[in-house]
Parts: sequence; C-alpha cells; structure tokens
Amino acid sequence: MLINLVKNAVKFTEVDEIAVTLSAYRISAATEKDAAMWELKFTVRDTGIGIAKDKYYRLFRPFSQVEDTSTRRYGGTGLGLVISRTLVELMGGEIGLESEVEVGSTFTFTIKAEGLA
Amino acid sequence: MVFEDQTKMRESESVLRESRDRAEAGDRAKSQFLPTMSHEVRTPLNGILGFTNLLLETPLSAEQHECMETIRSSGEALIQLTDDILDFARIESGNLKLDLKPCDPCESVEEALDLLATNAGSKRVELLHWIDESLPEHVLTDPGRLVRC
Repeated sequence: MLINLVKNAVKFTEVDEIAVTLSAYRISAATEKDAAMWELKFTVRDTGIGIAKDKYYRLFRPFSQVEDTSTRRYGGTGLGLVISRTLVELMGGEIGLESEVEVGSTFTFTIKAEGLA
Repeated sequence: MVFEDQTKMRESESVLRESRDRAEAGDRAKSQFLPTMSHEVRTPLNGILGFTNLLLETPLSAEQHECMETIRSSGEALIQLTDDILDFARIESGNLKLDLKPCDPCESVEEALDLLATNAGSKRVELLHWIDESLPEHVLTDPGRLVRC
C-alpha cells in the first residue's frame, strides 16, 4: 500500500515535498486472553496536481484513471488503488482521500492489528 | 388420468442448462487466462531484467548506461503490471489473502520511502516522514502487503 500511494504521489508531484505520517491509537487494552488491538493510521500528503471531488470515485474503479483516455498525461492501468482498497479492507481498515485541484492530495488509510509487545 | 406433453419444457430446460454450462466455462477460462498469461510473461521478463542488471555492472559508456537504465525501468514497470493483474484476478475470484506476521510499522514506512528515494530524487521531490512515538514496536499484519502493493 505504502509504495503504491507514495509512488502515485511522486508521479503527480512536480517539485516540492511528500509527507508520510503514521499515528497509532489503541482500541482495546491487552487482557489475559487477548492482545491489545491497535488502529494504525497512515497518511500520504503530496503537493501535486490534485483531483476534483466529482472524480474521486474513478480512482477506486479498475482500469480507470482520473483523466479520460484522450487527455491522459500519465500512464498506468488504474489497478493499484483497487488492490490497495481491497487489502486495506482485509486489514480491517478504510482508505480515503482529500484533495484540491492544483493544491495536492492526501490519501489516508487505517488498518487494525494486534499489538505485540 | 391426465397426460401432459413435457417435451417443450424438457427442451427448454436442456437449452438453459447448456447456456449455463457455457457461461461457467467462459468464466473459468477468463479467470484462468489472466493469471496464466501474467505468469508466462513474468518468466522471460525476469530473464531480461536479470541480464540487464548484469550488463549494468560492466564498463559502459554514459549513453549505453542510460539505455540500459531505461530497459531496466521499463522492465520493472512490466513486472509491476503483471503483479497487479495477478492480484486483481485474485480479488475477482475472492482469493486475495493476507500473510500475517509480526511487523515493525516504523520499518515498513522507512522501507517504502527508501525504495522510492531515487525515484523522488530524480524529480526533486523531497520525501518526509513523521511517526507517532506511542506506536507498538510490533503488530500482527501482512508486512509485504503493507509496504509493497
């Protein structure tokens, strides 16, 4: 997931920076029987071309890109985010996007996992 | 006593059965086609990439080096494509599974950024990261999938 999201960020950012953050939140404490459950939240923020809100849905559709084929400047099958979304869901989390055209995009995903001391 | 002519009904049943069988066979062929093709494409590709890497370690002119680098990055893009197609076929057939292992999430972030450092550097894009200190040292997840994909 991380490589896919950061690679996308690099692909659509010309200059400037990409920031990756990882934060953690404990959902439940460890008991005698069960390990503690954690939610990990990853964000990837870029200062790239951004995506219009009415095109968000295209991102998570297979073989689809934000730009129509005729106007496309960037290559790719459009499978990457479909795979990432499925994996995030298998890991008990969610993937989301906030973006503004010409300002940049922030992809966020969460996963739930047992903490091991 | 009542007799009923069932010929028509039996005929349409067999037509339906046949078309269902055909549809199922088509579906099986389709879901077999993608993984098989991807696998078959990967083998020669790995050969191309392996020998490209070997050649890159020999003395080359700047121009030759640049050409070889292009062959390598194109090959890597194709490998990624076949990986994606294989994963997509697994999603469609409900066979995408996680391989849970102890994983240091900080390491995963650093590994992903390291792997893309050259990529970003060549575009003058800086990769920054911030990691919460309260994070558990290890969690149970699929580290391969967390980093790659």
